[in-house]
Amino acid sequence: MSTILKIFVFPAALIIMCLGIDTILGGHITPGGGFQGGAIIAGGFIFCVMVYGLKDTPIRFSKEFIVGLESAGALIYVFLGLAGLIFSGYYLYNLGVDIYHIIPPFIKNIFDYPDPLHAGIIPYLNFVVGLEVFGSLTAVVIAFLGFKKEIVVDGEDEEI
Amino acid sequence: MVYFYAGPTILGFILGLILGSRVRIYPESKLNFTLGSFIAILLAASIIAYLEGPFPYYTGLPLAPGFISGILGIIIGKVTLGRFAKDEHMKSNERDHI
Repeated sequence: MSTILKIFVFPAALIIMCLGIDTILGGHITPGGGFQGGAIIAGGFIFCVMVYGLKDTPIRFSKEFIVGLESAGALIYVFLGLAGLIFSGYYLYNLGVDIYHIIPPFIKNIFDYPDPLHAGIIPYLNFVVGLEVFGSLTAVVIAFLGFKKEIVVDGEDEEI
Repeated sequence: MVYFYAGPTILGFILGLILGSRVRIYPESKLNFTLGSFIAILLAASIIAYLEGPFPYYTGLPLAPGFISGILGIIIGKVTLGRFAKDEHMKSNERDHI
């Protein structure tokens, strides 16, 4: 790959990832959300991998790391849904950040989005969906780039 | 008008930290991104955040706080945790032969 691309792509990938983070964080009041933001972050990584290759890319996600991200995203999503089921009887019910007024105000102020919508758990659902989508798309790309074609020639396996 | 919101800024920083902890430039790759490069990236990200502007209702600051916290998280994660990022995905792929 050309030198210009090698100089340009890594900073551009970091900027694209920041755009994905921003898209996730504003998902409840602007167009975007977890899926779009996660896809943008994965796009930054794919941009890097396409130019530098899987071996030399400066952003390195191991299989265990991606599996951990995906699992954490899916588990937190399920637990947020179960919290709604336990406290209100409806799965994924938006409990808000002050459950039965038992949360101290300073913790509530940290987790609350103080716009007129008061979106409650929606930004956090966006966050975990972003983790899940980012992990999935990244895993697919790494798997496709890491595939080795295997053909059988005269009864012996040969890798290409 | 909301001037500051801690939770989303912290979330953006955490997500940036997660991503930045996987950034490691190996000498064998012959890429030359020094500390000055990351300062230039931070400056460019600040300009982009200013041009992008804040979210609706969060117009106290003239720039996008999620963007800034994300790039700060990536750079701090790269500096502090990036050295522990291993070249694992190639080895694990070869091991599992997926």
